[in-house]
Amino acid sequence: MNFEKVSFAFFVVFALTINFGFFIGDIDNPAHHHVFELFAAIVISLIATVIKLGDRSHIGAVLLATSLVADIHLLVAAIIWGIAEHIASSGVTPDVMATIVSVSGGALIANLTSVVLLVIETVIVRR
Amino acid sequence: MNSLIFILLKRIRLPIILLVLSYAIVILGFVLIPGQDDQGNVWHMSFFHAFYFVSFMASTIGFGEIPYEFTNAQRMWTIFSIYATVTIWLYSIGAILSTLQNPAFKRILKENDFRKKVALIRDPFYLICGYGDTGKLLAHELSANNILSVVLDIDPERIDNLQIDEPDIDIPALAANAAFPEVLETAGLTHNLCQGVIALTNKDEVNLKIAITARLLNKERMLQDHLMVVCRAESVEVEANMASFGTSHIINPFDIYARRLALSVRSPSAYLIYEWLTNPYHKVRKEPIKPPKGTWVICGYGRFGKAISRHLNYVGIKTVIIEAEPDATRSPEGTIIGRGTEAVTLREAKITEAVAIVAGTDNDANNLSIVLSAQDEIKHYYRGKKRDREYYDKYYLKNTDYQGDIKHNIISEQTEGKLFSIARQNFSRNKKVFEKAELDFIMQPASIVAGEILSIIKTPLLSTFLSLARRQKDEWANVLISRISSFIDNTATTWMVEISEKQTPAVMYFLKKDKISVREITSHPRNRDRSLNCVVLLVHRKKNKESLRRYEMSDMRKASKYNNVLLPKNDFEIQEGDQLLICGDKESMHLMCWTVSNINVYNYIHSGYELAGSHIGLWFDKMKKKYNRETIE
Repeated sequence: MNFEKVSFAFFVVFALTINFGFFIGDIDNPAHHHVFELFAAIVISLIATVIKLGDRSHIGAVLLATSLVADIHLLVAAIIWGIAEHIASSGVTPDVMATIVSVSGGALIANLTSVVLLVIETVIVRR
Repeated sequence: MNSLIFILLKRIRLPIILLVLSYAIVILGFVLIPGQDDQGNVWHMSFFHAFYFVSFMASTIGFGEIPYEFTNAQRMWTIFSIYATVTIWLYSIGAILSTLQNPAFKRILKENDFRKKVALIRDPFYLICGYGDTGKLLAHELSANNILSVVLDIDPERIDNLQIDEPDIDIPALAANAAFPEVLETAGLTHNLCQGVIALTNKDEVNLKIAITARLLNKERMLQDHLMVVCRAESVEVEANMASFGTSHIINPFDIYARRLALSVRSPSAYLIYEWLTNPYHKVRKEPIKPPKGTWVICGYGRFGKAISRHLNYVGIKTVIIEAEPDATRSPEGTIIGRGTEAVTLREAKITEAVAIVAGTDNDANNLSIVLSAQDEIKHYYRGKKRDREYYDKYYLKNTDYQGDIKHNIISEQTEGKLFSIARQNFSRNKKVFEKAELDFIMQPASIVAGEILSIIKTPLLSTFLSLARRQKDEWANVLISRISSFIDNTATTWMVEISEKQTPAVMYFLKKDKISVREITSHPRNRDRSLNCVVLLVHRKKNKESLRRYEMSDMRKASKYNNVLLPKNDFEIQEGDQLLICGDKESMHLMCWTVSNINVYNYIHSGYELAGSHIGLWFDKMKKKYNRETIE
C-alpha cells in the first residue's frame, strides 16, 4: 500500500461520485441540483487533474486528458450558471438548469472513463 | 521538449494542489457566512461574488468589500483568508522560480535548445569535439569561411566562452562528454548534412572513441566518402589504431611539425611554399628561413622531442638530447640528464658547439627559460673568445688552442653569438611572451592542427599537391616561389575549381565544341591579354577506363585512380571532370569564379568579342556573319 496510490484513486473516484451526485435528479428541476455540489465537483476535479500531472506513461496521459475534459465541462457549467444568475436578468430557469446539468453530464462520462482506466490499470498491475 | 514540461509539472504539483484547496475553502467560507445588504437584510454571497472577491484578495489587489460592506463575521474570515492564500501564492511562485533556476532543469533546457538548433540546420556543417585552443581556432576559421560548425566540449565554462568568442554567428554548442554516443547523436553525427567529425579533445582515448562511434553509426555514408572523420592523436599507438578502422585523417601535431622542420632543413624553399599554402593566416614571408646544418640540442624527449629527433636524424642531422627522466621516456644512449634550464646541463651538452636548440618540454615557462639560458651561454662564450683573441693579438702570442679553432670559427662566423632556436608553445595564452623571445620558429600545436584540418576541409587537393611537392628538388621550389612572389603582396589563398556543369557552366559550354587550355581559365575577364594573379598548382584528373585497365594488367597496387599534373603549362588542355588547384590573391579568386560561371564573360575570353545575349542580337550577329562571308566570296 502506498499513500500516493490511495490519494490518486481517492480523488479520481471522488470526482466521479460527486459529479454523479450533482447530475442525478430531474434534469430541469433546480431543486434537484445544488450549487454547492457543482462547486465541490469543480474543486475535486481540479485536484484530480493536478495529481495526474507529470506521469509520463501512456495511460497517465489518457487519464490526464479525461480529467481535463471533465474540468472544461464543469467550468462551462459553472460559467453558464453565473451568467444566468448575475448577468442575464432571467435567473436560473428550468431551461438553464437543463443546460447546466446536461453539460455536467459530459463531465460525468469523462470521469467515468477515468475510473474505468484506473480499474484497468489496477487489473493489469495485479500487485 | 516533452520531458521538460513533465519535469516542470511534477515539481509544481504540490503548490497547485495547495492553491486549489485554499481557494476552495476560502470561497466556500464566504458563501456560507451570512452577510448583510444595504437595507440590513440577511444576504448570502453567491459563488460568483465569492470567487471575484477571493481572486483580488489573494493576489493582494484588494478592491474592497464588494458588493456590500462586510459584517464582522465576514471580516474575521477575510483575515484568515488573506494570510492563508497570500502565503500559499508566495510559496507557489517561489517553487516555480526555484524549479526554473534548478541547474538540472537549466541543463535540460539548454540541451533541448541545442537539439532543436541542430535539427534545424539546413547547411552542411562540421562537428567539432573539444573546444580548447585548437577547437577555438578551427571554429573561428570555419565561421570566417562561412562554414557552419557544431561544438561539443565537456567543460561548460569553455562553451560559455564560445558565445563571447564568436558573437556574430550562432554556433550550436553543448557542454557534454563527447565520448558518449548519444551525445554525438544529439550533436548531429547522424544528421544528413554532417560533413565530418573532428575529434580534438585532450585525451587520445576519447578521440579514439569518437572515431569508432562515427564509423559505426554512419557505415554507409563513410563508405561513400560522405562523412569525414578527422582525429587528433598524440601517440603513435593510438594513431595506428585509428587508421586501422578507416579514420579519414589522423593529425599528430608533433609528427607534422617535425616533418616540416626536416623539410625546412633539407629544402628551405619547399618549406616556404608549404607555409604559404597551409598557413591559415596568410602571412607571407618573402625569404625562406634556412635552419643551419650541424648538431642540434633537443631539450625534452617526450612525444615532440622523439618526433623531432627521428625526422632530423633522417635528414642527416646529429642530435644531442637533454631529458630530466631518461628512464621514463626511454631516451637513447648518450642522453644528458637534466632539465636544460640550467647552464650546467647545457654546457654538458656542448651547447657552444651546437647550431640550434629545440625547447620541447610540455612546460611553457621551462621552454622559454631553456632558450634564453642557451642564448646567454652562447653570448658569454663568444665574448670570452673575443677577449682571448684580442689578448693574444695584443701580445702576439701563439696559442695552439686558438690556432686549432680557426676552422671552427670560420664556419660559425655567420651565426656567431646566435643560436637557431625553436620553442614549443603549449598554450595560446602565452603567445605574447613567445613573440617577444627571439625565436626562429615557434611550434604551436593548436595552430598546426587547426591549419591542417582547415586545409583538408577547404581544399582537399592541397594535401595531394604538398605530398607531391615534397618529393621535388629545391630548384623546382625556387621557380615556384619566384612565380608566386611576383604577384603576392600580403595575402595568398588557395582554391579549387572543378570543371563540371555545376561549378563551371560557362567552361562546359565551350568545352563541348572546342579545346580549352589553362591559359584561358587564368586570363583576366576585363582584358584577355592579361592573366590573373594566380598559378595553377595542380590538375587532378580521373583516369579513363582504358588506361586504368592497362595499369591493372601490369600492377594492381600501382593503379591509382587519378593522374596528377604538377604546375601545368599554359597550353595544357583541360577536360571535363578535372579539378584545378589554384593559388593566388583573393581578387583573382573572385574574378575567376565570375569567368567560369558567366557565359558572356567566358565567350569574351575564348573568342575575343562580346556575345550578344538576346534573340534579336543573336539573329543580327548571324546575319552580319553571313553578310561578311558573302562579301568575301
